[in-house]
Order: sequence, then C-alpha cells, then structure tokens
Amino acid sequence: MRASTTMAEGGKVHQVVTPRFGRIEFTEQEILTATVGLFAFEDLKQFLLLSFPGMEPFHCLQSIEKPEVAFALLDPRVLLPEYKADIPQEVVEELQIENLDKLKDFVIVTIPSGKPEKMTANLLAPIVINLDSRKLKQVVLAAPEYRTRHSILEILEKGLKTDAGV
Amino acid sequence: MLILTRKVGESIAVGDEITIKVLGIQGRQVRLGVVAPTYVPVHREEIYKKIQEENKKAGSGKQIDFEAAQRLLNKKRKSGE
Repeated sequence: MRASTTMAEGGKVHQVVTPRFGRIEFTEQEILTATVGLFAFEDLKQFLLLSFPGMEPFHCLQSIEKPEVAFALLDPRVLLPEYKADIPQEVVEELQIENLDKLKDFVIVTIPSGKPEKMTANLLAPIVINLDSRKLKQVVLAAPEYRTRHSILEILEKGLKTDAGV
Repeated sequence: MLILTRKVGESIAVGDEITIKVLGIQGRQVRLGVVAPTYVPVHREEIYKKIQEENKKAGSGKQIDFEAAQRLLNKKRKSGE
C-alpha cells in the first residue's frame, strides 16, 4: 500500500505517494468519490482534485487507490466559452445535485509524452463533480458536436471543428 | 450467444433489473429502450470503447507534462487575444 494514514491535530491525515507529485497529504473531506468508476478505470473510486502553481489552468485528478493513475483536467470554458454539458436527470440524482452552483465540470486532456502540442481534450465525456456531496462521475453527453479527441491548439486557433474524428 | 426473436413492443429481461425493449424498426435501424440501474452504464458500444481507449491514454501516462502543456496553452491563449 502506498496510501497510509496518521493521526494529527484536526483529524486524520492520509497520505499517498504519487510518481508525478511525490507525497500528497489529504484529509477525508478532500476525497472525491466516483459513483461509477471512470471508463477503463471502473475499479478506482477515490480521487483528489489537485491544483498547483505552475499548472493553471490545468488541474489533476489523482487516483488515491492507484497512485500511478492521474488525469490532466481543464475547465472546458478555457477552450470554448460556449461549452455546454447537459447533465442527464439521472446523473443529477446520482450525484445528489441540489445546488447547481456547486457543480463543476472538467474535460480530460490527453497530453502525449514528448508531444504536448498534440494534446487533445475529450469534450464528449467530461468529469462532473458535485462539490457538496464530493461525488464525481464521467458523463457521456448526447452532443453530436463533441468528440473524444479535439486538438486543443486547433480549438484555440480556429474554434471547434465538428468534422474531427471521434 | 443467446439469440432471441422479438417483435416491436416486446422486451428481453436481463436479470431482475435490466429490461431491453424493441421500440421500433425502420429499414436497417432498430430503436431499443434500455431500463437499467444507474450503476450499470449503458452506452453505444463504439462510443464506450473510444472513451475507454482515450481514458487509458490520458490516465496511464507515468509523467503528465503539465508544465509543457501549460506553456503551450497560455502562449496560444495570449496570441489569440
């Protein structure tokens, strides 16, 4: 186990040692729980949302259970101010969403090793987080204009091209 | 593989909680209605596979180069202003 727990003032402090960021300490309140695991990572349920100086506007969704698993996330409005994630009603219930202000959505960014200029955003299946219930889910949108691989540099240059491959 | 013949309006039950109903047929297309609990994700298979593949690429990288990605992104955003 690379995750461990110690007692400290103010409650339990857990820690996880990650290949990307080294040792990270966190409290239980910071844990985000996936109601259904992310596609291809169905068994991973506990995550941390990390933001570091020098990383913005990127964030990192870090797995607690499997520290080598981490995702780069981006607020999709950084790329497309008009991005709209229509969350199906059953997901609203699943994530126990009562206050839409506490709902945050991110897109997963694939950054190929050594070729960051080829980074792509998955606009079709964003990560939706309810900051109140600390629940998260990867949601598949019913939006034909969004796909799993949109070139980020192209979007910033020319906006959304809908003829890109899925 | 279990092969069943169904008419429009008829259903298939998978266990206690999943029902798949044939809603209609139009030419070569079949409209299906699926009722399943929220913990059973239901998706078109090709979309499901593409998202799985993309997640594997995005999440299995040992070292995501946030710094390089950030430099590129911010440079592009500035030049676009």
